[in-house]
Amino acid sequence: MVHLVTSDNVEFVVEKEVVERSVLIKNMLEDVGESDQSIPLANVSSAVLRKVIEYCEHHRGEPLPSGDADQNQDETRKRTTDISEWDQKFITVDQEMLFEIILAANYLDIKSLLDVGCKTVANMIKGKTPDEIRRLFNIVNDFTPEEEAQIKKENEWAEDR
Amino acid sequence: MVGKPVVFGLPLEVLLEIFWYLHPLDLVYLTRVSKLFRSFLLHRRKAKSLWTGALKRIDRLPQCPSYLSEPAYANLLFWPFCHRCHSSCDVIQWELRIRCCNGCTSHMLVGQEMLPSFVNQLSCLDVRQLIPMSVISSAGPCVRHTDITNRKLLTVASHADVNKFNMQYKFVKDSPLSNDLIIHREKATEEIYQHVALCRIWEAEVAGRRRKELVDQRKRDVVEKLQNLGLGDELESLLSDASVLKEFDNLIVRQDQELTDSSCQVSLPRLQNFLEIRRARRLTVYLQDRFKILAVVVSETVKAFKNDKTNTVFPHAIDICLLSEVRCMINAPEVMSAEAFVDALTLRLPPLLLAWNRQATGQLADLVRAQLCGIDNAVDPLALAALVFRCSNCRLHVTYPSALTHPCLYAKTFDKPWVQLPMETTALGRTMSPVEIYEKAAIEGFEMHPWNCTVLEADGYTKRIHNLFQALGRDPNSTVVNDMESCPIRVTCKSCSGSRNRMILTYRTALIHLVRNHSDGKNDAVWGVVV
Repeated sequence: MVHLVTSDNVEFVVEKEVVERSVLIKNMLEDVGESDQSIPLANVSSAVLRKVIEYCEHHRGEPLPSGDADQNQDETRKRTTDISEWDQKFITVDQEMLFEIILAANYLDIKSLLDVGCKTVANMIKGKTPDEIRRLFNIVNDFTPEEEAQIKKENEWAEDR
Repeated sequence: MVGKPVVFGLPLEVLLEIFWYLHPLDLVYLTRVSKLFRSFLLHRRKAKSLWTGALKRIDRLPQCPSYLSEPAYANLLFWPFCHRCHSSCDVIQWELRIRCCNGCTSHMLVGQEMLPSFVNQLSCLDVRQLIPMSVISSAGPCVRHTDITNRKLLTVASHADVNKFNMQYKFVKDSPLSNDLIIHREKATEEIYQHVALCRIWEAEVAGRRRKELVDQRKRDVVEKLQNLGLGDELESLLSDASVLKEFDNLIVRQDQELTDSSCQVSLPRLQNFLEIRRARRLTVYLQDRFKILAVVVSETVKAFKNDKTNTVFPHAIDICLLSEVRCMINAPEVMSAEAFVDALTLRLPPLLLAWNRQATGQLADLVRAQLCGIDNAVDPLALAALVFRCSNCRLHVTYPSALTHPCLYAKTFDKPWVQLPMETTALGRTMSPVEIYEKAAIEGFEMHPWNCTVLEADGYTKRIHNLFQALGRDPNSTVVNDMESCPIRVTCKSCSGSRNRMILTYRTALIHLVRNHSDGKNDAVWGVVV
């Protein structure tokens, strides 16, 4: 069993097989060896870690993507934003939690969870106009009306303008 | 106070990961969301692979040409608005690398005849080899070539291209560099035309795919609606008949447009009609096949019956096939084999024949009672001695029981319930019910109409017959045939008898004499009793 302590000081005891879906923790365990010492996760809150563990438990035993294979399949992988039914249900959370899960997956290096999070955000963006995207992510329009008219005409690399 | 958007808190590599899943138009839109996104997405070194990847994932899209940046190419391909006024514009002027609405024509395009004079002075080349030019309809650049009918075509260049060439030429004119400029322009323009050719192929493929998607969607919508109308079984049966399936598809795919409520109102009744006619035909073939079997079984059974009961009037096969019990046997949800049908029918036919006889006789009796007022309730109307029918169809007189088999009872009459619906001309929206199909198939199959006694008139000779019975001293409303057969009274027709000879008639021969010689338009007979 592996002991994890979150940023809000909550300790989780998780099976090694489950927690090793995180490449970060897997490498740590390999480096440090079996130990009862807790692993501090300063960037992950207990609410988020609970979700991450739920994901890892559901996907336990599934093969981990290898770095090389991933790079080779990058083109194919990026073609689809399809998400499995369970993952879809799992990732149906509020926007703040969604971004927290993405940040945690990135920090803990859980590639498949990061993919699910990124695909979800991409699906949210798809087909939306700039105004709709701003509303979606609560982004302030920092273009002046003149700039806004101009940017529709300019679609060049910044360096070429 | 509004905090920093959460999305801006994502590390760059995560943002990049998200953007990797997006369509080029999504990336174009993101460049217009905020300065942060814009500076990142239009940073050549950081974002070029992102744009290249997004364009690469568009099926069969020609590579971004050297004369356009990836963001500019994505904008040209997918941002469906005029590049000047931003109004909706579906048509790309590929050679000019712009979208131009009809209203912006004069601002964005220059007609060939309006090009600067120096261009024409460079007579060594066709002007189209120096400046990329496009052909548009005189109706406007947004009118597609395929939509042009009897319209003049115009050759145009973009203002931007003409201005650029003008400026370049001013720098080099009268110098040896002018030749280099022309060579450069020629090469650049040729590259544009070559890329345009590839883009047009891609555009046609996309349009073809879109058309197919629309047609498929339309087909799915139509099928769903027809299934809701209860025609699902008929649609299934179409699958086995390639030629009919093609005909059905033609009715659907006449338009590659979404099935809107209004187009549904036009198309659906036509398709419904098509399927109903087909169903009626299919059902008719099945029914008539069963009717053939039925005709044989009825004929054999009737033959056997006739040997035993000579006085019974038997129905034709069409009368049997229209009996509700037989209809149920033929229309059973689980289709019986031909052998099982023969067995079932043979078993049930004897009681059905007798039942039909009772029913037909009853109908005739009701008709007589309805037409002749004052018949004694205790008397069987068909046993009345004064009963003579006149056929409203052939005008002949008939007596009972031969009236039951009078040929006109199987002729077409207009007050019958059997509905005539010519299948080929069934009106749109007019649904032919299974009952109608059944009855029409029976009439066509047996080439006759079912037995119907309403052609008979029992009151055709009432007044004149009453005169005869008055002479005989009997009440025509209660005297039955058996009474008269034993009656010894004889009469003579004074109107037809001469001074030397006179007819002595029984009541029956008197009746025949009356209907033959004193029917409508002729003088009534004057009867005398023979003592």
